[in-house]
Amino acid sequence: MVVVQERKQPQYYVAFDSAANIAGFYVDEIHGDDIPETAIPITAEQWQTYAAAPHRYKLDSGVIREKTADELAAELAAARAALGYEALRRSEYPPIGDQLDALWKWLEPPEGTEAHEIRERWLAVKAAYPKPEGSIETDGA
Amino acid sequence: MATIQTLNPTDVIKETFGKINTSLTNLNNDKLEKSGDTMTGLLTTLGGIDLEVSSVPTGKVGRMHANGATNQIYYHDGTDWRNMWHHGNNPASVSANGYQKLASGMILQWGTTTEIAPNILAEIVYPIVFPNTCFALAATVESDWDDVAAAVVSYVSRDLSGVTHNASASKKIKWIAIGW
Repeated sequence: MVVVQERKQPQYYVAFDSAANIAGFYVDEIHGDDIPETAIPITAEQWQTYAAAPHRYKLDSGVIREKTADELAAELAAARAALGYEALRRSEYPPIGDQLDALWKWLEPPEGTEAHEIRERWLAVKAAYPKPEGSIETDGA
Repeated sequence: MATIQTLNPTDVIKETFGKINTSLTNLNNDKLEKSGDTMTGLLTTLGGIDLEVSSVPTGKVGRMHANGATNQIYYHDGTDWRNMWHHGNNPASVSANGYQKLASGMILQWGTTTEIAPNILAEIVYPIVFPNTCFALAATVESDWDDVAAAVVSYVSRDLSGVTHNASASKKIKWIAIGW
């Protein structure tokens, strides 16, 4: 009787870059002899854990460990520091919907103008869907 | 109790299915048995197995070849040899962050990141490195209907990709990549 072999458990590896961050994962059944010599063998369970959040782990004195909250915060701060002023401003401006909402509440364009027509439509939508008592309008709603 | 007649395997194959390439030596087929129209046992040869059946009915395979050295199985469709796909040449990990290699060499990978802050360049490290290249990666933001946002793929390499999203808060990115 021919016995069909179950697929053998693959052997996974993880490689790290010069900053000790995870640079990539390898598996013997696909990469064969192309796995870097410096890659570290890991279990399938470890591979699933690391692959789900690679940036949270690092190689520290030959041991793979989870980064501390301070280390993660420092990485995020460095990433933000690398951004230009435009990106930094864009990330902190109020939502565009909120900005437009505030303008339409304040502006009263003269009749006959396109801006007046648009504001009338904006008011009509608000009237068609009145805000329930006690609720808070957000995001330009 | 039924009696199982043990026959010379090569003769059995010739008699039942057509002809077998007998040019190979060191045949070791003494475990083959026939019962009615059913043959059971292990057909072994050195260098692989070629099975050829004459007078092939419609819908049946006429010629097959198994190469033990390369772990490939082929059938002949009447014109060309075709590679059969099986779990030995289609390795995969079916999980939340996983991959599927096809016998053609193409690899599909997919996953979901942890939450990424908006408007910063973050990296997606694939579940496995693409051996050659990643052709494309598509990413989308896991968000609510009232916080519609987009993800931008800034660069794609064979081991990771750079993505950014513009949601109002930290969000997960769902992605799929194709390469080989």
